[in-house]
Amino acid sequence: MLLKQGAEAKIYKSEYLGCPCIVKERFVKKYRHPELDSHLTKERIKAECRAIVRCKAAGIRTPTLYGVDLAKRCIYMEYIENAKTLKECISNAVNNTEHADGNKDFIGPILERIGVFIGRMHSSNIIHGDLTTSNILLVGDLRSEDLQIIFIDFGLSSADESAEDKGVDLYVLERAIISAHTLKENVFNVILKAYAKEYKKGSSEVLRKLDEVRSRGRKRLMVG
Amino acid sequence: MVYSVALDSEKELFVVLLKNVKNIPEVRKMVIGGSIQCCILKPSLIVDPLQIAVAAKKAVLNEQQNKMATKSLYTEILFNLSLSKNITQSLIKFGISDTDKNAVVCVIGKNEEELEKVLSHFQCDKPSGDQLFLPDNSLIKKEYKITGVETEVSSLLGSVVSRIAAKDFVSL
Ligand SMILES: Nc1ncnc2c1ncn2[C@@H]1O[C@H](COP(=O)(O)OP(=O)(O)OP(=O)(O)O)[C@@H](O)[C@H]1O
Ligand SMILES: [Mg+2]
Repeated sequence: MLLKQGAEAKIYKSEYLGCPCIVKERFVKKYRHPELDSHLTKERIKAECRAIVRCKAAGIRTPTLYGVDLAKRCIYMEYIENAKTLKECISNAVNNTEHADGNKDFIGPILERIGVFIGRMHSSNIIHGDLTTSNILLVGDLRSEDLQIIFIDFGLSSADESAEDKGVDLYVLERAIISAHTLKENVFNVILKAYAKEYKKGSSEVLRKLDEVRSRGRKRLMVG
Repeated sequence: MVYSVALDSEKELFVVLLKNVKNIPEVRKMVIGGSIQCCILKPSLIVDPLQIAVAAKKAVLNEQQNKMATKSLYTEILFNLSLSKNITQSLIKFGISDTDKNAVVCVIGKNEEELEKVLSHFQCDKPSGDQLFLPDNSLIKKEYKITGVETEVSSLLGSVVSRIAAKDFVSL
């Protein structure tokens, strides 16, 4: 069953050895040189597998990896049942007019936990590479401490110490959270505070880089 | 109880736990000599049959694509189960040794009769109950390099299976 047709990959729901699974099939890009295309695709698949395993080792939940078929350009992984993306959850909360203002309160504690996980990721030198709100899944009651937070979509990830790349990860998430949902700017500070607390050694340099990336981003906007 | 799962349209994997096997050295010789076709694993290192299935599926895929690291499907399963790139070490670590009393027997075939044929060579207690495995969790964590922070966010099976699937690309 086709769930999603993205820019890079088709996402199917299927079964792997009797377990419900997601098949992520990266398709051939006709405009690219065939050898280059196949090389890039394989690199992304390998990067995704590496990050899934390395994140687990660092204490970040990711789907279980079941199998890889480089020839078919496929990854088979655990299907996370009843998952919503962070994007869906935030926009439901923001657009929900039935409830009073206080209804958005639950977002803070979730963002705090997300900040901790990104701190773990970066202190293990895992760069996500596409840290948007569609690539963070939530399972369970949004107001409960038992809410599970799962990171996905590591095709652009890399193993790197670069404070710049880590800053870009944070910037991408900040834009996704603030601009897409017209939330107050200070909402993101919840993430940054938890991030800095978890990632004691390197976070100050990353936050400096984040400021640089932000101002470059603003200049780009002004130039148009 | 026998666990079974389809690996592709022709091949099925059968797994069973045997207790108090009295002739392990003898069957081990027969396996090495090629007179019985199966692989015999150390029960202490197996969390769940899915762990073997993932390694076996990978072996079948590598066979189809002529990418096997070892000579047979069964040694390939042993190699895939291990995080080591060293074939001999992998076979010793995950394969049964003469001093073991219990054994996990895996057969790939078309039907359960092929498993029965293999099992006829074992002198052991009658397979009973639902028990398929006798995992030693601390040994498994050591073997697969799984630490405390990871167990907070992942089941042992999830951690083990992911490492087997990503073995070719990840070093931990
Ligand atoms: N393991 C999973 N379990 C449940 N749902 C998933 C899982 N993986 C992906 N999804 C769903 O499919 C969507 C797309 O998945 P993913 O982000 O991996 O692919 P993509 O965005 O198309 O990839 P790319 O960014 O390379 O184009 C997710 O936002 C999520 O809703
Ligand atoms: Mg995505």
